[in-house]
Amino acid sequence: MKAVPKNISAKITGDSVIKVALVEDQKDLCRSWVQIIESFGRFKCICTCASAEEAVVDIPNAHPDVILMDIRLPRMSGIECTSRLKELLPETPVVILTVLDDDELIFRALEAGADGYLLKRSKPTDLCEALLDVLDGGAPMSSSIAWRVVRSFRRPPANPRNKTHLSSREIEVLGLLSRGLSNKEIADQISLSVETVRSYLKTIYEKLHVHCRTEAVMRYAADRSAKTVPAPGNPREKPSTA
Amino acid sequence: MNFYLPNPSGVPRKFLRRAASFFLGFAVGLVSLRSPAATLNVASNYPAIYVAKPDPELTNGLGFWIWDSVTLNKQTVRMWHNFEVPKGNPVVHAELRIAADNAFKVWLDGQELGSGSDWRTLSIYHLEGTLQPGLHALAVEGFNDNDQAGMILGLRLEEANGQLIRIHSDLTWHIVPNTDNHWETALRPASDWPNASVATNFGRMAWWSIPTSVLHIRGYLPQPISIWQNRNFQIGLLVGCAVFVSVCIYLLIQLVSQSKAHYLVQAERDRIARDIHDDLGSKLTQLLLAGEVAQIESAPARGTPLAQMCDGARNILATIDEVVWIVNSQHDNLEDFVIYVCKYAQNFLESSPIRCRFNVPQELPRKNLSELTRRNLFLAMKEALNNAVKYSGASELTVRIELKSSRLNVVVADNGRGFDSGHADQMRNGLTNMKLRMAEIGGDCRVVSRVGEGCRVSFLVPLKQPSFFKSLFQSRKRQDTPIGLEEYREETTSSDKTIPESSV
Repeated sequence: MKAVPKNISAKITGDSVIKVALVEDQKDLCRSWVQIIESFGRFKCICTCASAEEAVVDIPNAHPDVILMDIRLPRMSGIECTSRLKELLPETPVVILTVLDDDELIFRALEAGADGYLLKRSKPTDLCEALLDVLDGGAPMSSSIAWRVVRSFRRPPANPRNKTHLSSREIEVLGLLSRGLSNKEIADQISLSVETVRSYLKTIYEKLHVHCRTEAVMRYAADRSAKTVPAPGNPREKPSTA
Repeated sequence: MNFYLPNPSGVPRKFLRRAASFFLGFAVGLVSLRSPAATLNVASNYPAIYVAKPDPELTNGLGFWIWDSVTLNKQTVRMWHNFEVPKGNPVVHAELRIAADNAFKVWLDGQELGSGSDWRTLSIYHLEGTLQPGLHALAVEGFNDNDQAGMILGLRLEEANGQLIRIHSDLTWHIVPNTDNHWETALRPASDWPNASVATNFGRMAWWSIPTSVLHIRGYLPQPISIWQNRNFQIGLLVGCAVFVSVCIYLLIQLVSQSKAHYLVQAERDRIARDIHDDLGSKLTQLLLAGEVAQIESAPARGTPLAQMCDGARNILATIDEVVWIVNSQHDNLEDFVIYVCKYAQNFLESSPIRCRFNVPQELPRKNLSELTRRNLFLAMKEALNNAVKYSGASELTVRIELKSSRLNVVVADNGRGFDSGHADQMRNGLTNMKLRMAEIGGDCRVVSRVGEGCRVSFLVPLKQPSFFKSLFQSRKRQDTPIGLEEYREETTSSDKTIPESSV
């Protein structure tokens, strides 16, 4: 499985500036986000996009270290945008921003390739921590998300070629998570380091992406086409606007 | 009681059997209702044969000329006689000879065999079929125009074993008052029916010893009709069908309007959830972030009004989360409920020293959980969690969810200091609330605690769908009351009061 990219790890430990790209359709919010993010000193907002369509063009050119993505965007949703950006920039972590703590929506974003999620109402310090954590290869997983991951793997994969299975250890970790244990408690229980538990979670994320790659996008394509907006093409193809 | 109907072709039965079947019966019943009347005339439809030279044998087996004790002009006299067919030997063939001065009409077991209006003509009915063992009634209505009057009759019944039963017109016949109804089907004589009088012996006075003409008529012996061939039963069946169909239509209309109402309510709930999210949620988030920016710019210490404002906005957003979850009809199922309450408990206890554990079945059946149940159970659980954080001093809390034969058990157990249920004043309010919430959804709340041994709160909720009729009744009752906005306001304020621990 993919290890945490070396250059990003170096960025976290070092003092170099972390480049952030932001996708947020509301101008006021966007401005506030930029101010909050830059107030930490370590982050620099290099690219702000008001729509997903803009994001898939501008962000690959900007080469950010991390992408903050609003889940609700006017035309193409944040989930689909995540999926497309993941095709273009597979190494760049995407953190989903959401107003509501809606598991189902968050989980779909994770299926589409997001590496983390954050409630918009989180405190600025939490935002900073979450960004650093995701750059450090962390994969946040609450009990409810763990629950949905387990359920998702019970379904047949969206693409029959993507035959991914969770290892017994990964299932064990998910089981403990869904019973409400924290990463540290899990580490104690199964005699592993917290770091190893974290890497398990990261692997579970990766497997989830593979397991669900086409499905999440197809589902959103269907949702979208039902709402008069023409269905986007196959996410595997590069967008025509690129 | 026996009911008789001729059954020459079997057609009415075929119809009537169909009439017994559900909806078709409704339509076919209309046809079958008319069929007995239509078949009564079958016997007289057979071709009559006139015998030119009467045979002296023809008058064999005839009885006396009988009549009422008085003879009047323009007089109608009803003569009645019953006879029994022995058990095990049904009659397989019958021959009835009859003549009357001036006219007659004859019935066997209430079925009209025919009539005649010439006293010099002998009518001979050749009756095919079977006459079942038991009592049978022979009825003759005679009419006298003027002068002398009489009726003469002979019935020869041939049993299956070849034995003969002979019935004549004689003194054992009864005269039926003209005011009596259904006399032709009566199997036993009424007490006020006098015996008939003999007008004269056969062959005496003006009457013939050999008739001038003979009329042969072929017909059928009356068949006992099954219960469904009874006219009253048919009317009953028709009425029953009509009532059934009406009830079905009524229920169908109810169901359609109800499911439409249900759909509308659901659509409205989803719209409210969306509006709350899109407008309220987004705008409040905007406000919150503006507040955070202001805080960053002015760099104030913790606990300033600005920071408090931001915390307040966070609390409201958390409450909006709950409201949207409750209102959104997509979450009206067991699995979403379980996932949500586990997440809620985890978030709620995150800031407290209590560790949260879940004991939840990995596989949950797909079951609907109404908004009412979901909301009450969730709010009751919230109360239990809140109590645990406030009073228990526990280090660990377990949320156990079990599904036992259409009953949902949610148990919140802590390992805290517990309390003596007799001295639980501070918790009383919370306990009453939990009990009320459970009562609203037909569930039960049990609190078990002893000093030093923690506390266990169990919520038992029936998951069984209410019966169709019950749900009809309930839905109407619920539609009368508008969606409880008042109630909601009360809940959100109460959660404001209880939430701060969770969100700090």
